[in-house]
Amino acid sequence: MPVPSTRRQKFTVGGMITSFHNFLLADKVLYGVLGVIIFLVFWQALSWIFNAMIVASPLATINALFALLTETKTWEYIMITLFRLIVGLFLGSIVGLLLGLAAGTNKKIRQVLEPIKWTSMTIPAIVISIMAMLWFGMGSEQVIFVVIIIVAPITYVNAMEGRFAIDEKLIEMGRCFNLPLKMFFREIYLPGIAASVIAGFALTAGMGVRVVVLAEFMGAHDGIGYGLSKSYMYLDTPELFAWILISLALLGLLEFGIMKPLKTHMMRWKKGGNLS
Amino acid sequence: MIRFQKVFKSFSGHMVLNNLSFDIETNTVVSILGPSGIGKTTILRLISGAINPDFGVVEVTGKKIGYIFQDPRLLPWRTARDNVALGLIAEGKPKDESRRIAAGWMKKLDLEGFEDYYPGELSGGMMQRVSIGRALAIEPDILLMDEPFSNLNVELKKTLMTMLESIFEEYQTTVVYVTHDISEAVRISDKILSILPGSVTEEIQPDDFQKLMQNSCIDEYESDLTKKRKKEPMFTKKVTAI
Repeated sequence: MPVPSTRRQKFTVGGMITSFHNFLLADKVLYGVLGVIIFLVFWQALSWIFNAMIVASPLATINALFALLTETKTWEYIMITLFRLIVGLFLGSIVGLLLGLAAGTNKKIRQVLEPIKWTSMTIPAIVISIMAMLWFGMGSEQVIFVVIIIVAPITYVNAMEGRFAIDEKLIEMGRCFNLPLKMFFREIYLPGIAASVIAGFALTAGMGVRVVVLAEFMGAHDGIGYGLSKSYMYLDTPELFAWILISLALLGLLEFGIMKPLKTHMMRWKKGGNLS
Repeated sequence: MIRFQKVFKSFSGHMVLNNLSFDIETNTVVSILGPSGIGKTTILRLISGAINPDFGVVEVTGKKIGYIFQDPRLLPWRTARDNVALGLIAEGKPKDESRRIAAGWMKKLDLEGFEDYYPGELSGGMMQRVSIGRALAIEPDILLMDEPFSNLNVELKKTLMTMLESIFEEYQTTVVYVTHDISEAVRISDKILSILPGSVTEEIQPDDFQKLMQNSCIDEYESDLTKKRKKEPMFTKKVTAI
């Protein structure tokens, strides 16, 4: 039967600081909560300083948010934006991934794609959005197109860097064992670039949310961006802030609902130490 | 049957193989001996098809080639069993069957219970055994081994050598074994192919100790020479026209 320990720890100031530090480290959430509190205090202070029409207070925003969430239209808009975002992110990532892999493997392809990459990375999202409105009109096509154009170059760069990081010896091993092209992709290239691409996804998802909202603001009759533009036109600042909170929630959903589980699954081989 | 006919191979202007010719008969175990930098690994890479010769002909009879590298070269994101099954799946065997065969090989290589471990969780010796399993699981017509035990301790080396010897007895296959170690070559081979400077080859029977000793002296002399060459690259040749 296990005997409970009766040993007592000495009480020292240094020990107390270490315990407090360990407590903070052990509970990462605490730091997050601290950040939120600082942000809310800062926000409240701004709403006192400026006119309510310029900065809505946290309380007014929360009220507006609840009012919005009771409307069916709001949920419809959220679902539309989510659909556009996921389709845009998916297609943009696929395009970037394939081109990045090709460019990382073949120098000539890389040289051909380099000017296109720089062009698409330097043109502001608003310009792409205006052009997309001319080509596709108002609606989902233009929003998805803008997301693809913004997301693809970022994924392209990450995939290319990931391809460079793959050990050439593994590729030679694959050749020696006559792996077919499909297996090369599944067994070597895709897992090899996964770390780099997934790390870039956090940036891509954030960029995607910003761009989809911007594109909807500019040229759509529905979605979160459209909701924002409507609040802006009616100068309904609390509702405008509430839509911003909804955009943030969308980003959180992408990060914690899709990206984190995906990362954990793809990187499960990195757990633990070895037996040597 | 493996046949090299007047093979030339250079890397970045440095000639590694210079008019190399030799034959290896089917179902024999041949060790290739020679000093560092003489092109032993290049010979294996040419046989495997990973690289092509600049000039000359490399003929290889036999479809399936298993390769045990100096370092294990395992896929870090696949379990030990999936690494062993890699070649089988590449051949087009169903996944379940490949995994079953792989598990059998892992048992044979004393790795039972580690099937679901990732390479990063295994010791160096275990990883090398997984790599041996990967090469043997496809039941190769030709097995290429590039100093597979050079990074392992003496005890582990002995155990794996004994293991491989019993496997070679069980399965008839052509083995090309690159090594520095004459005792390993004598122990395992039917024939020893000594590569001398200038890609000159000499066939030696494993029991011809006198010749082995002579070549060993050449090896030592050449090793010293290689060290000197690194300081002063005096023998660098460029392939221009042949």
